[in-house]
Parts: sequence; structure tokens; C-alpha cells
Amino acid sequence: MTDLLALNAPPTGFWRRFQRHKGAVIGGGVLALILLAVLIGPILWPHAAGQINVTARNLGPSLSHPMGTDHLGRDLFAAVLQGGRVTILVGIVAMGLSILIGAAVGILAGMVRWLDAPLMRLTDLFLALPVLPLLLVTIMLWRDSLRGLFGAEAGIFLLIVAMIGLTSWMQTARILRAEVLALKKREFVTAATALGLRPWGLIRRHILPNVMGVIIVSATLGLANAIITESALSFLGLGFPPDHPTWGRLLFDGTEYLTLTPARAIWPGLMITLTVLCANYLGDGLRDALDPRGGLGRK
Amino acid sequence: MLTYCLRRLAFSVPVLIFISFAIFLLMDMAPNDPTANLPMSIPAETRAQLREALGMGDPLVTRYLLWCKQFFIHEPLNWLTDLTGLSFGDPDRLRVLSWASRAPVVELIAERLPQTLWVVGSSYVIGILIALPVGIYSAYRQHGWFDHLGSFISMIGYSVPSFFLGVVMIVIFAVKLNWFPSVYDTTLTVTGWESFLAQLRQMVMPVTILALYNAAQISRYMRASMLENLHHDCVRTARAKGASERRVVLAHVARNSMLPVVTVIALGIPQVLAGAIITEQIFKINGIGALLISSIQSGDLPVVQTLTFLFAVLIVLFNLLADIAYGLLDPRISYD
Amino acid sequence: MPSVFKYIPLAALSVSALTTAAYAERGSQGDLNLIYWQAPTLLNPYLASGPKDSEPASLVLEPLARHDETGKMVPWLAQAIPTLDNGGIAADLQSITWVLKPGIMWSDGSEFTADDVVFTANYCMDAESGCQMTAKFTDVEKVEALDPHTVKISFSKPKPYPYAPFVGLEVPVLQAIQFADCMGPNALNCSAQNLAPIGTGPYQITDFKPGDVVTYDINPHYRDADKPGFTKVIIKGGGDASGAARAVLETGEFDYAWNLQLDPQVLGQMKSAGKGQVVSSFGTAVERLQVNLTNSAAGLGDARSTRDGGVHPFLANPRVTKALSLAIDRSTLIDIAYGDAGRPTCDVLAAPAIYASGANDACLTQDLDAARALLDEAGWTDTDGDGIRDKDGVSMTMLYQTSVNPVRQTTQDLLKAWWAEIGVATELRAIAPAVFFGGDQSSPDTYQKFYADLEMFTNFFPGNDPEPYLNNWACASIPTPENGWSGMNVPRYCDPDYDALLAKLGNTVGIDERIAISKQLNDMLMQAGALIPLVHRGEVSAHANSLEGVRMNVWDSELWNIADWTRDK
Repeated sequence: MTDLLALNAPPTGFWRRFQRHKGAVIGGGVLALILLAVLIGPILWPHAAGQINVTARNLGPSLSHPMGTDHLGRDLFAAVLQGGRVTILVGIVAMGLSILIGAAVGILAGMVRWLDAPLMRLTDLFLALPVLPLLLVTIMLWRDSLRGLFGAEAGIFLLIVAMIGLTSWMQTARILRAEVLALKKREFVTAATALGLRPWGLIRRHILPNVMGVIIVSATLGLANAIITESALSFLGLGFPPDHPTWGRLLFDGTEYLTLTPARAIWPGLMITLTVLCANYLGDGLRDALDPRGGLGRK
Repeated sequence: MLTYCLRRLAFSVPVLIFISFAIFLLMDMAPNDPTANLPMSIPAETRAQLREALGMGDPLVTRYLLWCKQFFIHEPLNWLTDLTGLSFGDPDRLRVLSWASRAPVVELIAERLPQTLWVVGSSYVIGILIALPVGIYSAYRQHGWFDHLGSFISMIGYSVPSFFLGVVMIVIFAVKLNWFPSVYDTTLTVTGWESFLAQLRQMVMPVTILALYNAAQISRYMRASMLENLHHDCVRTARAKGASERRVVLAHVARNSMLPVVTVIALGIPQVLAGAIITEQIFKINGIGALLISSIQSGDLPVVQTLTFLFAVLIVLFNLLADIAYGLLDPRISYD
Repeated sequence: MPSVFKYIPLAALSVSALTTAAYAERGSQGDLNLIYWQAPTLLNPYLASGPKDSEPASLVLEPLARHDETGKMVPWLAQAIPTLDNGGIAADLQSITWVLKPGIMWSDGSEFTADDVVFTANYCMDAESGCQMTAKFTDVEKVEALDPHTVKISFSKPKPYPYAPFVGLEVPVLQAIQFADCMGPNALNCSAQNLAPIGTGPYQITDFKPGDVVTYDINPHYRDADKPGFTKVIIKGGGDASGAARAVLETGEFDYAWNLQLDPQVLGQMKSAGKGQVVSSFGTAVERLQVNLTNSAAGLGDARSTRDGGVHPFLANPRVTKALSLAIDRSTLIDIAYGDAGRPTCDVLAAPAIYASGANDACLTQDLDAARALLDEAGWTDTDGDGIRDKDGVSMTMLYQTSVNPVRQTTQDLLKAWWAEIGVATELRAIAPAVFFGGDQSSPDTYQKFYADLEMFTNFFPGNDPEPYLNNWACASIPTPENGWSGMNVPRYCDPDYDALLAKLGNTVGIDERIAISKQLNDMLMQAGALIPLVHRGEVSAHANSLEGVRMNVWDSELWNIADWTRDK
């Protein structure tokens, strides 16, 4: 568990320790670059994703198509930029949902004594769910109903985000509960309680700022996890539909063309790997920086 | 200790029943039709008859209870019969049957399990065998070149999605170099040297990928756990007493550090099995993962229900085992 | 006797097949490895879910007659094809009598008799059995054994085409002894029998892992002492089409791969490795657009996509559908998506060749200008300058749905692009096959509810009689809320003249006249714009260069003549 002394230390110490972690600095930088690219890339790039050009099918890389084209002559680079938007959006929203639930359950369990046992049993129950099979079943069976309700892209987006969020909050909840329990024993919290601070005020003024670090680390690692999960689902053909390709979907569609245009599978795969790697490094660096004992790696 | 185990077991039962019902409900409420894959020339009345014959017209609770009865009572009885040769009760009792193949689901799973266990099992063992020494040495020489390299590789192994690495390996080793077969042969039985080599060749790629992932994860835990213990007082005491460095690291630090790692290993088993779904899909291994995916696609509810439930059982079981192992290995923990 | 005459060339043909394989002795050819990437899950065709099951079963179970690779009927377990002329079909068309070949044995050594045939009919006609081939036994009143080698099938009404029961791979004969306990509701629970039926075919099942692999060895009691050539056959399932194609064409791990619907360029590249060849064969399957002639607007509530809801704002006009059809470049579509597995077609009844009308072939060449002119003529022009044609405030925007399938999505993308060029906007939808083709009444997304303007799928008819197929577009076959959305008249086409002509077809016996009427019916459908045919689809398989005797057959099992297969050494 992360020690909280770190948060009371001056911020410069945090930055110094963070900067010492080369991987994290590079990871953070590349992650920011990728975010920027998928955000403004599709606006700047001359080819639109999904623009069919029957005369330019299955091309190799060239200046006008740096990643080549697919079997309908669509530019792969444009597709990767556009697909990255969806992939990363899914990652961020799913991670947000997971953190929200995790934080709520964790802090409530830590703060309210009579809720502790039932909430932790609930957490145990969710930990006992076979996540991947369940995700597959749910998405396979429900995607068309939701597609009908919310429209093509929004339906599957909501389903995937909700399912990833609902099945990945448990670790955050456990860690946060432990943090809160430890904090409650500390003098300044005891003092604040003695001074009559209401529970909500206590959470806002003392607990939340002190567990922010843990939440941020969980969020970074959660982002990596959400992206991997979404890509895996898409790779199994159960994620986003072919007309709204994410990186995972592009990779899946590209596997049939492995011998003809391997780039169709390699590039999206590289992008997933790079993003996840950067997020993991960033998470590691943040954790180490928050933990003055340093270098403990993942626990 | 015993009461603790019993209490945990007692808690597992409602959890599992709840999960099995939740899965059933989830699948029942969703639009799904096992007759959808039939050729179009088959008329609607025939489809309706078929759905009726499969028992889809019965109310939800009836079907759930029937599944429970078949799975929890009939299957174990059949198993006992097969095992002992004695007959228990009605020999014609109905088993959980797949809709697609009309074969008992348990037999389908039993047919698919060996290849999954071979691949997943060997990759997990190899992963552990790599992870432990790497983790120990990395922590011992913290910030050394081996530590940095190890951390980097484990970070890669942890971050590269298996479906990407698998695809790249297929392009290189199966398509371009033609070293390994592209289809996993489940009929291969190891009878001699040659068939053993064939078995090895078809296992190399999936095992490598899963082993890399497992090694990456476990070595990170091992390293972290070692680092925590290296600075303990007992280590200083052992050194002061003049014990050799090798003995200090291996006998004192590594042994104590194994505790949390053992739990992690036990907890990881169900996840690795579930993760094999993807690996099997890439390398076309007809294991339980492939069974799950094809059953989901053909709307074969009994198979999906049973498989998902078995995954849940595995998770609960290994959680319990991990807890017990922790208690047995660490004398400081008491369960009262 | 002209009809007996008709089958003489066939007899000659099987003699010649015999001579080519005459060098071969039974079991002299070693092992044969086939790959069916959609793995067989059960080997009883009466309960099976499609060719992935009935083809592997066809090595074991045999019907009374099969279709050969040209679509002609050949006697298999029967001595001859019964006809009116040889007296096999009663003059009142109410019964057909099959005479079985003598001396045929089941692989367990027992004798094959007429009782097995009678049993099989009763087995499938039992309403509780869940038999999926009940349609083959429509109007069958009684099946009886006149003597151990003669079976009479009686119909409740005159049947001009009485060859549905026991002809083709889907309706073979089961062994009465083996399935005796599997009647009615027990049929579905007879796992052992359904997974390993005993047959009369060249092979018997030695091991079957459902969804994975079937292993066969030679049926010791097979009727031809010199066949089959291969000692052991393995049908391996699992993986995907590209993996299967690679295993035959590039790595040579397998001898035969079935159903390879792949990108033509990918398949072409694999072919160039030189280890095997691609074979294709065309049946009756046509990939078509179904045009919703009724209004599918969501605002109509229960009347949505029914004839009560009124006609479609623009698709009910045949000029518009003709324009849409003309805007499609079918050759390019086939180059990109189908390759060897497709041919352009403008008829929904495209095969057998004698039935193909050809009167609508104007749509084979893309003509965007003509398409635009047709729309202008129909009064649809772009008045508001948004690039989409409109009239009276309605803009030409269509919802175009199909099932999830890479080839279908490619087709959708291409069609959308072409239609955009003539000023018609398209919204695409791909629905999971289990939902789209599923019969779930509560789902709004089934192909029969058709809550869209266009939808695309393939339909076909087994055998070579199109009458039941053409019946699909009778007024009575329109799916409606009242009939629980059943019926195959998906375009909601209803024309009394069409129905009258159909009735006439049902009473016509002469083959030439049947052909003429069928063509006329096809043309009526095409001219009304109820359907836009796209591609006449074939089956594509691949086999190793060393494999000889493969006669790719889309009318029956691809493995129908596996007893004649040999290996060129």
C-alpha cells in the first residue's frame, strides 16, 4: 500500500522523484503526443477515414498513404487516427466510470462502519465474476438492442464503457478503503472529527485530497486496462462494428490480410501497444513518485 | 483455521448460486435465437417446433431449476457411476445437453479441456520458472543493468496485447518462415519422438506468448516483495551473524518474499484460463475458449451457461486456496 | 421410354468414374485430411444446423438419390429415378414408388431395407422430434414398404415434383434399429446416435469430437469392393476461412478446404504458392437487395412496414429501384468482394441455367447517367441543394441493413458510394446474424420485420425445382404482425396476377411449360422492383494438387463422390 507521507511532502519532492523515473517521463510525453494526434490529426490529414477509392486498393506504404490502404482503397493512416479517437475515448470514459464506482465504494466502506461489511462482500462478489466470458456474453447478446435504442455508435459505446467500468472497479475500492481506514487513525482526522466536522466535510477537506494520489495512479493503470479490454473485445469481433473501427477492430479486420498487406494489422497493434505501455509507465512513475520509499514496483 | 475455511466455503455457496442465476437471467433476457443459424429454406413452423423441443417455451424459473438439477445432481451422479462402476439412481437421467450438438456439455468440455490445460498449464509453469529467478536477481541488484532490462521486458510483456503479439508471430514464423503449423492438431497423440516434436512445434507460439505475459506479471510481484524484505532487520541480523550472501538472499529473503507471490500465482490461474480464450482464438486451438466463443455465436445457451459458471467456480475456488495457503505459510496470520 | 433414356448418359458417366478409379484398390490411397473451418457439431442431418454438419454426415448416411455436379438427379440407394414414364410416379401425381438397390448393407453388417426408409420418414414427420427437414415431407400422407425393397410415398394432393423426400444430402436414410428409441421428444436426447449414426456410405465414424474433429475409416460392408480409395478420413474443424485456405494452398497441411469466402486478392495470392487449386461451383444462391415496398417510417407504429401503412414514398416506384440497380457496378463489386465465388446477375432466379430468364440483363452494366435520368423522370430532383434528391419535402435517404459479415459490409460500403453519385443518401446498418435471422418476435431487427428501406441477404432453394422458392412472393407469404412476422415475402410484394400464375405453376407437369412460367414469374418480380439481385453466389473450395477425382458439387454434398477420390503419387 502506498504510504501517505508522500502527500504531505513538498510538491517539489514529488516532481523530482517523478523526473528521476525516465520511463514515466517519456511515457507521459508520448501519451500526450498520441492524444494530440488523434484529437487534431483527423482534421489536418487530407484523406477522410472511410473514403472509398476503388482504384487504390491494397496499396503498400507511400507518401500519400504512409500506412497503405485497405481492400476498398481506404487510407489506413486516416483510419488509425479516427480509430484512436474512439479507442482512447472508450478508455477514458470506462476508466472514469470505474474510478467513480471504486472511489465511492471504497470511501463509503472506509467511512461508514455499518456499510463496510456489505460493500466489501459486494466487492468480493464482483471479484468472483468471470469477467472476460461475461463481457463476451453480454456484448454479444445485447449490442443490437442498445444499438436500436441509442443509435449505431453510441449504443455499443455505452455498452462497452459500462461493462468495462462495472467489472474493473474492485481493486480501486479495496485500495481506497484501506487508505481511508489508515487515514481515520491519523491525528489530524481525529482532531477534525473531534472539532465537529461533518462526515461530508471530512471527506471533502481531508480524505479526498489525501487519497488523490492513489486515485490518479489507479486511473492511469485503469486507462491501460480499459484500452486492452476494448481492443480484445474488438479483436474477438465483439466490440465496435466494422463501420466504426477502433484500433482493436482494425487489427481484427487486418488479420485476414496478413499475407497481402501486413501493415493493416501491424500499425493498429503497435498503436495499442504504445498507448498501453506509456500509460503503464506513467502509472508506475506516478506511484513511485508518490511513495517516498521508492522503487517498489507494482504491488 | 478450520472454522475460517468453513466460513469462507459457506460464503462461496450463495455467491456461486447468485452468479449462476445472474448469468442465466442475463442470457435469457437478451434477444437470442439458436435457430437463427439454420438455412433460410427451413420454414418458420419448423423453427418454432425446434425451439419448443429445446424447452425454450418453459418459464425462466423452470429452466433454471432444471439446469441446476442436471448440473448439480445428475452430472455428479453420472461421474460417480463412471468412476465406481456402480449405478446410482435412474441411469437414463437427463444431462445438460448442448443445443448445437445435442451432446452432454460436460463431455464437450472434457474433450476440449486437455488442449487448453496443456497450453495454459505449461505456459504458466514456464512463466513462473522464469519469473522467480528474474524477480529475485532484479531486486538483489536493484537499479543494475539486469534490473532495468528485466523491468523493461516485463513492462513490454505486460503491455503488449497477446492478440497483437500472436498475430505478429504468425506472420513471421508460420507464414513467412513456415517453422510452425498454423492449425493446432487436436488429434495428435504423443506416441514417440516424432509426434512429441510435432506437439512441441504446435505449442511453441501460444506457450511463448502466454508464458511471457505470466512471467512479466509474476516477476514484478516477486521483485517488489523481495525489495520489501531485503531491508528487514532479520536480514541485517543474518548478515551480521556471518551467513553467506547466497544463503541470506535465498533462505531468508526469497523464502519470506514467496508468501505474497504464492497467493498471486494461485489467484492468477482462473484469469490465465480466461485469458486463453484470446490465445486460442489466434492460434486456432480448439480448447474451451474456442468452445465458449463458438457457443456464444450459435446461441448455445447451455454451453455458455455451464462454461461461464465453471469459470466463476474456478475463481472462487482459487481465491479460497490462496487464502488458505497464505494462512498455512505465514504463521503470523491467524484466522479468528 | 424417354425418361429412362435420359439417365443412360448418367449410367455411362458412373461407369467411366469406375474405370478411372479402377487402378485403385480399396484403401490403397492412405489418409485424407479435410478442413471444415465451421466445425461440425452433430452428424444427424435431420437435427443439423446446416451444411457444416450434413456434409461430414454424407460420408456415412446416404439418400435414395443425389444430384450430381451438373444438378442432375442420379439414383443412389435406389435402382432408378421414378418417373411418370417408368411408372414410378402414379398417374394422379399422388404417389411415388422407389425401388431400392439389392444387397446394400449397413456398416454394422445388417441389411438395408425399405423399413429403414419408412422409419426415417416417420422419425422426421413426428412433430415433437425437432426435425428440421419437415419441409421436405410437406404433404406426405404415408410412407409404406410394399416389399423389403420397394417404398411407396403417398401425398395428400397431387405433387408435380415429388422428389423432396430422400433426395439430397439433407434427407438421407437412418438405420431403423439404431434410432428405434429416438422417436419424438427423445430425438434430441439421443446423443450417442446423433453423434455417430450408422450408415451405408463408404466410411464409418470412428471418433467424433463435436465442434472439433471427425475421424472415419472404411465401411467394411460398402457395396463397391474397390472403393473407397482412402483408408482414413479426418475432417478437422475450427479456425477461420483464411486459416483453412492457407492450410491447403500455402502450407499443404490439408488436402481439402471447404467454404472459402475470402477476399479474391488474398485467395489469389495463396493460390500462387502452387500447392493447390481453387474450385467453385454455382447453385441457386443469389445475394439480393430486398426492397421494402411499404412505408417503414417509425411514426407509423404498428402499421410500420406493413401494407396497411401505405406504400413506400419512393421505393414503390419501379423507376427508382431500376435506377438504384443501374447505379451498381456488379463486376467491380465481384472483383473486390467475391472473386471466383460470384457472377453478376439481374435475375433472382438465376439457376439452374434452364430457368434463367436473362430478360433483365440491362442492369449488368453500370450506367450512372441512365440512373440519374430515371430519377429525374420520376420527379426526384435535388431542390434544396444538399446533394440529395427530394420531392415534396421528402428526401431520398434510405436505411440499408444486413447481417454482420465482412463481404456484406464491403458491399454496403460500395453501394453507398455509388448511390451517393446519383444523389441518393444511404445509412448503413449491420446486425448480428443471430438477431437478424433469428425469430425473436420482440426484436425490431429481424429481416422479416424489415424496419428499414433495403436489406440484403442470400437466399437459395435446394434441389432444382424453383416452385417453393417462387411461392415466397405470394401475397399470403407477407410477414405481418397478425401472422407473427413469418413468411418470406420480405418486400411485401402483392400482385394477383403473380398469385394466379403461381397457382398455374402448381398444376403444371410438363417441364418446358414449368420453365416458361418460372421465368415469367421471375420477370414480374424484377419489373416490379421488389428485389434487386446483385450476385449469383457460388461455393468455393480448395484442394491439394495431388488430390484427384474431386467433382465440386453445389447441388448436393461436396463430398458426394468421396469414394472415387484418389491421390496422384
